[in-house]
Amino acid sequence: MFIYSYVSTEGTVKKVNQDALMIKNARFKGKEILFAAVCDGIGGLYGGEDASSCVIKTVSDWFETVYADLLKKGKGILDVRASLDERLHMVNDAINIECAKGREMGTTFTSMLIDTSNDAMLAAHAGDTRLYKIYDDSIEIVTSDHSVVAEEVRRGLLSEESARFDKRQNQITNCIGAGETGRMYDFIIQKPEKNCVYMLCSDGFRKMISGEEIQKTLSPASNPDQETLNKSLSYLLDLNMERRENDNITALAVILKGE
Amino acid sequence: MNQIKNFFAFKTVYSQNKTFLVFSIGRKEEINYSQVQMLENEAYRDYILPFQCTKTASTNKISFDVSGLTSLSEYLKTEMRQEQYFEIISGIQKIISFCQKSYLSLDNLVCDTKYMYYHNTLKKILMLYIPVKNPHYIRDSIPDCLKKIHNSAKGIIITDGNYMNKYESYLERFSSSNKKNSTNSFSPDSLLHFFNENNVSKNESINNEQQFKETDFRQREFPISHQVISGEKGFDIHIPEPYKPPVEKPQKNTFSETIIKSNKSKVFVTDRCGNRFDILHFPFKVGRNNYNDLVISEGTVSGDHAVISENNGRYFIKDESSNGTYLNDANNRISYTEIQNGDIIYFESFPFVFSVEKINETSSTGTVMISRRRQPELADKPTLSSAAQRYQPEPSAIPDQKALAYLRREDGALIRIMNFPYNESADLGITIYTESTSSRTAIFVKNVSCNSLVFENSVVEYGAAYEIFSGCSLIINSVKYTFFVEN
Repeated sequence: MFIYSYVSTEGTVKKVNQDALMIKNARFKGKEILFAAVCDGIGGLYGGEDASSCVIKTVSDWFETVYADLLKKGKGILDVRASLDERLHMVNDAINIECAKGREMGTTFTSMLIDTSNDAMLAAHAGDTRLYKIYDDSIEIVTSDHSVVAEEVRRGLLSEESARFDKRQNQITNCIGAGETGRMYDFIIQKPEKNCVYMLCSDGFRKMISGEEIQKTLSPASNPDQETLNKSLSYLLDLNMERRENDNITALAVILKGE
Repeated sequence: MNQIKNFFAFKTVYSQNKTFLVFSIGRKEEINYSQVQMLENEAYRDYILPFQCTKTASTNKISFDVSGLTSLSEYLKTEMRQEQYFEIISGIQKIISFCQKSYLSLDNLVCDTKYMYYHNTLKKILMLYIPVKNPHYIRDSIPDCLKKIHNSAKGIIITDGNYMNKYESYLERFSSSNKKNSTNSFSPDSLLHFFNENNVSKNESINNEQQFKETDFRQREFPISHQVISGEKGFDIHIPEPYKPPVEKPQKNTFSETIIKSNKSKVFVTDRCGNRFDILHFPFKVGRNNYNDLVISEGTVSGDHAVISENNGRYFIKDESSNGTYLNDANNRISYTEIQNGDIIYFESFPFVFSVEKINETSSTGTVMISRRRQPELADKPTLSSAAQRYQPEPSAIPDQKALAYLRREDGALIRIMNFPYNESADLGITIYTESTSSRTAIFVKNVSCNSLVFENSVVEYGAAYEIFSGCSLIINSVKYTFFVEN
């Protein structure tokens, strides 16, 4: 079984929440399945909001129909990945049609599919939303940020320390929509883990709080049940608000429990 | 230099994983307990470092918790963009104004970069205030402190040379050589005025009334009461509806209120060599005299030659010269006329192209997409003034070629893939290549001579190729790698 919780707010300054999130769970032949996603929209005058909700609806539909068929046909996780990739490119093309009409529309996307029937965790990712794995003594970022700053760190042009202070935190190099074509999205396939808390979040959730604060608050030992998980996420949200995060703030945490 | 040391003994103390800066104050000094009480208020946390006062038989101690903070003198050694630098200056201005409005003596504010701190998480400056009754001696003068900060900040990447020049001129007004002859004594508000006059960091140099409003705002509650609704659909799937935070859509015109305007000028002129001069405020004065916003040091250009102004998003030029201002044609002399993007203005015979740049106002705080053809290093760079050029990074710091993809080894080491096909047959025994399909480019890995190649749990035999994807795992001769594409 899964325990999950989430928080989302427009933040201290913005009046529109361009973030969107989704959690769905299912059971197939007695095996637990959970699909969760977080999007952070880009673009003024509802463009970002529309893009993020459009992507959420599309992948939600994919989960209910296409993915269900794949499971019934006994397809493995690589086929599931290819199918989700195809769907993400389809929605990318659909949003780009709107962009061609002059609307600024795009969104980051990070999703996590825990498919115990295939014994796999599949993360899909574009942009600077993140998937974390939080353990009792450590924290791991599963995704790589598609951002100018992260790219410069990889190129050796910026140190990790300088990157934290860089003003270009809001510049991303990959997303769904925004008129971009020929992009590749990241997919990470791992074994599902029961000794960690999976956490998806928009960049607004993590800029004002440290990895250490996230790890201490969301460690599996501190979150044995739904109630504590709710409180922990709310606490981190409040911390962000206290520190005046002016971006939209969204986070979603999932724990895989049981045998 | 170390004025503080002359009057207070202080030391750094490490206790329970925390770092404290402890000032020992002689018994003759009297702690101002009404100020201590006032400074305990949460509203001061944004400006003044929290402290504790301890009284012993022989001495009074004031301990400042500086755990996790970076001394400003250290922070200034790092490379930073001009905007970051002015955020620091603006932060200092806010603290000074805050103290002034709170009737805290500026003499007790420690203005020394070693004891001013940068909060890495909040990304702001915090200062020490010594709550003693006897003022007079603690601080450097604020202009001196600002000058020291300016001289210490060697790693500024200048993005607006004109603005930096103006700031340097502003500081120069308070130099000791000028003091005797001028009436320019420093007042805390003059820095705020500088920011406001130059129309930069407008949002940064907010006044105290606004700051107090923000403090109130922090105390508001933000109830989060979202609920996932469960429902049953399809193949034994319990599906909650996709969640969208229930936020009312504001009127379109109110959306702009949430946007912090970009510091970058939207309007600029360019000379025939391509040098760009941002128009940061209106009226924008052009002429030979040094006080003009654009100085053209030519004898045929009048001291006050012309003025560019703005009204409701429209731009106008007014000629004030003897030899004339001409628009788009050397014979078209104008006295006052509207100008538009792309117009060529001749100040006497010196042509400048007037440009209006469209800036998406959501971009500076919201997330923006950077397409590959507009990488920052390829973007147009503003022309730097001679004063600004000293801050330019060394040629070695100029970004090198970007990798198309990486192989990240499990120990974190990165192998950069600069082009496809990537032939590593000699070392790793693999080739990574691309093939274009009708709609997209696919990437493949081929086992050329690798003893053991595993792609996502599937063994890749000699000569075989698999289509791979960004983020996939490859185990090459028992060493795990993650392959990812840099879009």
